[in-house]
Amino acid sequence: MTQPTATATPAPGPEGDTLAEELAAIPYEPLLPVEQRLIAGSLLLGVALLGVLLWASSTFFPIQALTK
Amino acid sequence: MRSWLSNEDWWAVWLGLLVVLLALPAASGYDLLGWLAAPGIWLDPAKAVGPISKSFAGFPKVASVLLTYAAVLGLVGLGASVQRFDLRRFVPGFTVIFGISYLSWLIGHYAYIAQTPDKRAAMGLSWSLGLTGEAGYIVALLAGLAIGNVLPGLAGWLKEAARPEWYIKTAIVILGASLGIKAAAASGLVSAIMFRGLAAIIEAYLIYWALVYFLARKYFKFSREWAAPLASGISICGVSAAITTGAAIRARPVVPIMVSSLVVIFSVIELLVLPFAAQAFLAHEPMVAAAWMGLAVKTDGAAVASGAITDALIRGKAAGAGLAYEPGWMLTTTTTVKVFIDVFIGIWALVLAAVWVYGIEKKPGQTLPIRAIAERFPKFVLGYFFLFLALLGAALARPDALDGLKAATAQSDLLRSLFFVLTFFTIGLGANFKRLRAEGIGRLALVYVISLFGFIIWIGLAISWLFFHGVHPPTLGGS
Repeated sequence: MTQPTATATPAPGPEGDTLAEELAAIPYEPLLPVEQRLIAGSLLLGVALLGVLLWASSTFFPIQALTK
Repeated sequence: MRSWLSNEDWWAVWLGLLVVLLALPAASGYDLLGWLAAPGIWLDPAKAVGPISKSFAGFPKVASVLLTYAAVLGLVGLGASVQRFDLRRFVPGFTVIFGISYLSWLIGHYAYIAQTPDKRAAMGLSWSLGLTGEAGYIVALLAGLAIGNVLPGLAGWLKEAARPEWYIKTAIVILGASLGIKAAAASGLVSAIMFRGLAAIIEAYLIYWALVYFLARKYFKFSREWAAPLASGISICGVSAAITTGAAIRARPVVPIMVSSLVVIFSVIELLVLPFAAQAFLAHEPMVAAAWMGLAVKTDGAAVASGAITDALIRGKAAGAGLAYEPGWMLTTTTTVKVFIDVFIGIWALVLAAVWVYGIEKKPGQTLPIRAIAERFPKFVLGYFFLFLALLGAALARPDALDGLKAATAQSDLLRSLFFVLTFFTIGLGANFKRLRAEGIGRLALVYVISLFGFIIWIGLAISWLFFHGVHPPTLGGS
């Protein structure tokens, strides 16, 4: 299977002990302030854009004009 | 070898363009593909298949099927050859895959399975499942799952030709041509689907990703290297997002590959469940159901496949109530949402790369891996939009040619459906549920299950509802 292009069909992953060892070896990393800002910023932007995009949808692509 | 000749993405573009180019002369009466074998709803097996064009009505049916096989093998064989697949394994493997897929497609067209309630009487049926001919996709998926999980030896032998992502991307490129023709006839609806689809994925991405990343980091104690591809893979984009995010944050290859394995398995579960849930609860809001498939089901193949099944199931149910929706609009909506998601992957990967380089790692001299991200941009999206715009432009420039172009894209659509069947079968083939028993995968799978069934599906449904409720596909006859 072709790898590692982003959209290629995925190859099977490692199984059994290899994966177990890999996951067991994950180090603890505290959530950094920059990560907290990324999470909060993403959620806030999502909520803020919700209103804007809904307004744009209803204003420029009203449903009445679409229903046949 | 140049990248535009060496990967599946570009070959999806070339094959899609070639199929549409071969179909287009039909618009002027030059029927180059009229012999393609099209299945029809049947009771008598002798009438299960025949040439798609009336001008080939006398053409032998067996020859039609064999020629269709040879043509598709020629197309994918060309791509496989240039991509340097092992042709000694690819050709026989593809032959078996084509045979089982096509047979599944025909079985799905059996009248008691496929015929919609409004047409039962014409065929003398007292009952039918009403699933439309797209039931063949489900049959193909089940056949693939059976072989993949019960006959792993055969599945392994078919592996070289089992490439669901390549097949679905080719189908999506071909679908761009049909969308162009649809847009010429209903530009308001298509532009609305595009805008609302884009709005929906922006919303879904911003909310999904942050929530999954937070869950994986805070409560499951995954490292950043694991949490970011996991969030991208689980949230909405599946395999391509996990791999692109892995590249953006310079994760080791094992991380996105493991995440991808989970994505593939769970996307099949979604594919088997969500379209039927949509039929049961959202038949009165078909476009909400379609957008939901695009937002909730991972991987290009499974998402678009879910859209195809949803299209068929809801049309079948609506037909029973005397409402005949034009086929393909729900599929178009799912595909559009999924294509925008694929575009958005690149943008999000750039954001993550910047956060990692300048906010987390802060290594002197380190720069954004823009080239790595650009290399992973899904090229088939370009083919989809190119054909959409080209066919829309042609239809707008020559309104008198619209009917001819519809006839031409009907032929390319047949091959698109065939690539769909191949996708369904090979998705099933690759979904090895035994992988879930691999030691240690429980923690990854738990995050996946909690995220997917805990909030992703429901947030996706809410967003789909907000942007698509009240939007309906055109009905046949223009009512």
